Amino acid sequence: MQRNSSIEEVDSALKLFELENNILPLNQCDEEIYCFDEEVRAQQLEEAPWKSNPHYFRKVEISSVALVKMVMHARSGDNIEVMGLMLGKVIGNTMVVLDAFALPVEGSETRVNAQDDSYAYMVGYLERSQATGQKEPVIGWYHSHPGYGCWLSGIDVATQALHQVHEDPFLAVVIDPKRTMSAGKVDLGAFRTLPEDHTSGSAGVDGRRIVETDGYQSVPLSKIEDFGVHSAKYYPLDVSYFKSTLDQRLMERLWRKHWIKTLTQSPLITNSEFTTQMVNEIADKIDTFNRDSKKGVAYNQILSESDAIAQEIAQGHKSQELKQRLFCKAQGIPNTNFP
Amino acid sequence: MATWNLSTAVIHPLVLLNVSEHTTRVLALTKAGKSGVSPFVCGALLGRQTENRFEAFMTFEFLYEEASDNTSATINPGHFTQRLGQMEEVFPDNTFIGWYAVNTDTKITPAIAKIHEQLIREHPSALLMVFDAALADGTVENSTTQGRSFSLPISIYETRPPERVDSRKLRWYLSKDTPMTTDGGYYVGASANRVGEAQDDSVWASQLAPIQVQLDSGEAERVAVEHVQYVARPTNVDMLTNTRSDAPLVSLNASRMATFLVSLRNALEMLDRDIALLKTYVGEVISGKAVFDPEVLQLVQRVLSNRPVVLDDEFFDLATSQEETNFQLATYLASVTSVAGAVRDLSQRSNTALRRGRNKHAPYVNPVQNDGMFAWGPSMGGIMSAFGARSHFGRGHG
Repeated sequence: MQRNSSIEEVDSALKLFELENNILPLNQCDEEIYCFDEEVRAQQLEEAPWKSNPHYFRKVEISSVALVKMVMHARSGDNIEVMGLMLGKVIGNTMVVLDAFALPVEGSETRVNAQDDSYAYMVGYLERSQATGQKEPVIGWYHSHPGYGCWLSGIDVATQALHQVHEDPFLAVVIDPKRTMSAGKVDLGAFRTLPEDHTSGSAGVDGRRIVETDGYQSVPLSKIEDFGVHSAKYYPLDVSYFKSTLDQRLMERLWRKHWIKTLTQSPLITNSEFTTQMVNEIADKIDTFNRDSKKGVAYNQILSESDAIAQEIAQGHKSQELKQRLFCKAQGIPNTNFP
Repeated sequence: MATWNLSTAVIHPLVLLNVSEHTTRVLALTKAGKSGVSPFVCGALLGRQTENRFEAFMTFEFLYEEASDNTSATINPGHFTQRLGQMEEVFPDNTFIGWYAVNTDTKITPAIAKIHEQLIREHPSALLMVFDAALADGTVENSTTQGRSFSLPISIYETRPPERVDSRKLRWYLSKDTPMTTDGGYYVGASANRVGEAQDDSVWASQLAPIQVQLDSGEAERVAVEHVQYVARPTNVDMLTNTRSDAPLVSLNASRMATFLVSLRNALEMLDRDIALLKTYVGEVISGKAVFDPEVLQLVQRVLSNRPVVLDDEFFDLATSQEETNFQLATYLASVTSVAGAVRDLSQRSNTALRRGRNKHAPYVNPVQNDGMFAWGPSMGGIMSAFGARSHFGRGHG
């Protein structure tokens, strides 16, 4: 009896649901970006400026949550390619990726292909997202290239071109989880294909050839042909990342706990397998190069690869050395065994 | 501190980022008047449970229906089952372990408790995570919140088995200002006395007890989170306009090594800060300014006793020196490769220059006599154009 009356009394307590008054204010940009407007979208689709200019989209903005989701999903696949879709919108010539979700596709080791049942999954998933107020449409797909860099293969180009015909605006994102871990830096590329009749020469007009914007883009020997044949059929977009005001506050807190991970994880141990693989790869490439230098292996590519791997090992070693000096030698007794 | 609890909840950063994104989106939609529902943010936690260790990896959002009087919410079971099925299809290792609700502190409100009552009917072990979206900033608020700002903005509660509870303790239902029972605990599932039971002042109820929270992340997740921390920029006007922002990002031009060392330095800075904090505390305890807390001091003791374990271990030293050798070998190989590359480059260029010179019966020009091998001075340029090969050579060195 007492309880029933208490529940009625509490009705006004639902005011606590009304977070907006107490929560830290969103800034104007947060609102613009996180609020989806169907009218704006309809208008964009009608104008479709990307149809007349194949290089219309220049920039990609990826939200923190989408980034972490994609990287984790790519990593969970290990040596298997995984794929998923991204939700987002278009602002001017920028494609904004707000969220991402995984698709139940078991890729083979070298390619992914969306099947019919994954299409059914996508429809079901989107329906649920819409129901909870996440109204953004699919703005592209992502998949992983475990260990062989961010670029589009022939099949990827075909898939992407098909989507750009039927579902534009559409974006392709490639993540390399192995390099991400090896270099301690997110390895991600965003691409759009050029139409069939587009001459490859103009891809370089504004200086954005497919070559690495980010140091190096090494492609394994087995895939060099695939890479070379199709590299003129698409162009990369500038990728940047953003976080909301709330994300930023949260990250400040998170970082107070999270830094421990930076110190405890050793890149040398987690990446040993990948490092070995890379060294083997370099050796193979040098072999091929010595035998036949016209096979598409450029020596400067081998150079940048060996540099990169040496740098990664150096990074891992530096962190070990630092830890050793800090935690094992802090008492001021120099260890003579160590050079 | 009421009861010592053995359960632990391990939270991955993605969970917190998801909740943050959910909150931001709901608020943005509400402000723009497009949502039509009250901004109550709640969803499921997915992860694994091994004995009493709960690990949450990801989330999905609840669909809920509000009662007509706007007072209570009911989780839509159809949406729940479908979404759970979808997530489990892609991430088969994860299952429903609990749910989250967003509040402006980490306390449970009666409304949250009511939803929790619904959920534990089907999932008796469901956890409840309350996310503090106000994120009171320690620097702005008074100094008492300083300590709190170090902690994560969440509390996680588990449901205890029902026990007899003095119904006077449940009076927190009555007052919205102090949504807490008299002994500081939260109770759900209070049921009326069964027939035949003594009609005293107690009822059956389950206590919601806070449990320990830890933060964990996989290697790839750590890299991604660090990326969010240091590379991702807060939303700004640039994003909405079409002009490309030319403001350089901090890490854009820095080498990978520099980026890596900066992230290490940041971590060490935090370590230093925490050690300084402990040192100050211990100092103040000694001088009698701070309260003596045996629990904290025991933790300090434990850290100190762990430290010298690897101080004089020859195997460790051996492993380190092996690693050192590996590292030097790799660097050496890389330099050998680049030297080989440079030599090849040099020989190719000089070969081309010399071969052309001889074939055309031109006077032999020692390239070093001019401004050095690679400085294509006017004289070299002149020779090249004489051979009609200027365009070919000029490309690489212009």
